[in-house]
Amino acid sequence: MRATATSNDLEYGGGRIYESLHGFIHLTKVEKEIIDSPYFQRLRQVKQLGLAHLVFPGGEHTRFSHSLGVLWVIDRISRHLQFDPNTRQILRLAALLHDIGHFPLSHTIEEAYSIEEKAAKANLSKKLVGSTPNGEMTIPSAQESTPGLSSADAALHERMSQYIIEHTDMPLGITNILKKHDFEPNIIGSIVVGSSDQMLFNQLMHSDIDADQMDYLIRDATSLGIGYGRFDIEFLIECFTVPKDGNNILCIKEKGIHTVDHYLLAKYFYYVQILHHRTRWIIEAAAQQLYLNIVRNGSADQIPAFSSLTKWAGDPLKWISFDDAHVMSVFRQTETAGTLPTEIGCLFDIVLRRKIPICVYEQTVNCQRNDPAGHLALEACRKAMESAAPDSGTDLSATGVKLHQCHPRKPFRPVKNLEDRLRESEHSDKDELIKSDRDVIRICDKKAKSIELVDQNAASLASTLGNIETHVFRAYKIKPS
Amino acid sequence: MIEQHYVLSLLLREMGKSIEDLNQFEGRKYFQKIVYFAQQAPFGLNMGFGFSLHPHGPYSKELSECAKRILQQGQECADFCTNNHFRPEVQTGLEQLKTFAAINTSGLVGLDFLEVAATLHFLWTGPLKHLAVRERKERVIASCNELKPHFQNSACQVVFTELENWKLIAA
Repeated sequence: MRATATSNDLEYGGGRIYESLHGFIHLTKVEKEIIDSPYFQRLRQVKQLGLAHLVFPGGEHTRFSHSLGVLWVIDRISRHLQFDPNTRQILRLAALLHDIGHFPLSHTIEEAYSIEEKAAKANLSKKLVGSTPNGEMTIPSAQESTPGLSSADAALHERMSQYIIEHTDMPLGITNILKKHDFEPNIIGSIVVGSSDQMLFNQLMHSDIDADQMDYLIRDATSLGIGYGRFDIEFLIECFTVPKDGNNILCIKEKGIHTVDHYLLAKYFYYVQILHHRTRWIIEAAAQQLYLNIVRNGSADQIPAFSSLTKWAGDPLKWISFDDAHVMSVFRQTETAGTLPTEIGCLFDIVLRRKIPICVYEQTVNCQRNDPAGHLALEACRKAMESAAPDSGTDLSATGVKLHQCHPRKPFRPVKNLEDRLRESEHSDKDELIKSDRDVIRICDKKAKSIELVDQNAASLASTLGNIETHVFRAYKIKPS
Repeated sequence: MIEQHYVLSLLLREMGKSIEDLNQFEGRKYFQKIVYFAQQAPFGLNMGFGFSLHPHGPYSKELSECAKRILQQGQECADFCTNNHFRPEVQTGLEQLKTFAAINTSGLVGLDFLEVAATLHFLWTGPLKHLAVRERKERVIASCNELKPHFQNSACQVVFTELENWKLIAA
């Protein structure tokens, strides 16, 4: 399947829906049927930003509207690139379904399960090494760490989406609907995890400048009523191009370079100001730890253990009830039942009654990568943060929540530079990386003769920002009652 | 708890490679491909790494992070390798993996063979698994060629047959 130019349009026939950010979205029949399915309707009950509404009251929007928005963005790009109707439809379906497997409270609960997955993987390693006194040992199977999920190198919620797209072949199931309309679930699932054999599709849905981010940056900014996250989406899409002799990869025309910079800066400020907001961070960390405790204490009838995630996802009755309200209800019931250790109690206060711990130390440091002076400054901040952390008994350490937060390994980066890309990815040289990497942002000149990465273009701020890292150090303590 | 990068350094040693090989592109590529195959059924060294498709075949970011940790903690990893070994039950699969990794076929030697084999296997079991067997084989080989035009189509065909012989692909 190749993206080719044609003047034919899609056959709609599925009605239209008014979406708050993008206006009317016309739907095809298969899209209408998917949207009406219980799996998709569930997304109305999953907030896009988890518990961020406890800090930003406007953060009530859901994965439902975001999924529709991504459909609009990918279609806008597809029309601009003059894809044929079949290609457009496949990309629209991938966009619509990309978050179908998202967890309640979004990334908060996903992170809790990711911790469980890491533990399962560590257990696999343990089984491979050492002696076996009684000579009995079961070699771990391929399914043991992630039961039923594909082994794609993708986030857990993306693999859950892929699972639901490919394994719900029952009435009202997503697989069933796709097959009924002659769409191959595996093609859609592969695009969602960024592993399609069509690099261009992966780029549009799964790269540093994809339809998913283009929607959520603007949507979150608009819902929260803040300026961070906005950029000129229309002009950016107008600058998208696929050079004819360019290996069928996505590039941005040179005239769009400042729009790309704007997009990158919007993303950077969005991460710093919203996702890592000091109060939001501690609330999400508390909810995540609380959830982990409940999962590990065996509430299998109420919430799935990591090992039974796909079993739940394959059961529409179970999966559709697995939403934000359900998880909050499980939190309340668990508190009432008193089944968790008493030292966990303060986590209920944070999540259910919004008793926010005090941030007793906070320092943000921007430094140049590999700058010795910068690293000395970071070390000084780390020490100050640790000495500011209160003694156990008055802090959160007994609950398992880290009483401090810093990002020595994962600082915020507006953009990665070429050297980092080469070090981290599997490319033999710069030319190969530019030609074939999925994630990078490429800029091409007017005639598309020359293609380079955005951070290599002297006109782009990314050429300077690529060397900067932002580190945040914080310590919290619980308010005296 | 045994951290994954320790077990991976043990695997590298068993395969006759050194930690320092990870400083080179070829060494990192070998590391990615050998772990990819180690996790497949005939070899049975599943460590739970997920892979996506890159120009040089299946690639795992998580594994790439582990390679960095192995290099950073070279001495600790070397000490771990001195004091530990794979369980006897794993040894059979490991020996098979060594034999597989040493295949030289149709002009493809060592790393080139692993790269083509891993790419074909990934395409077969992942993005193209929905196709009927005959069409699937043609598409898998064609897609592999598209990704790697420097390898001849006939060489991909021979590697495909080798994967069938090893029951890594059931065509």
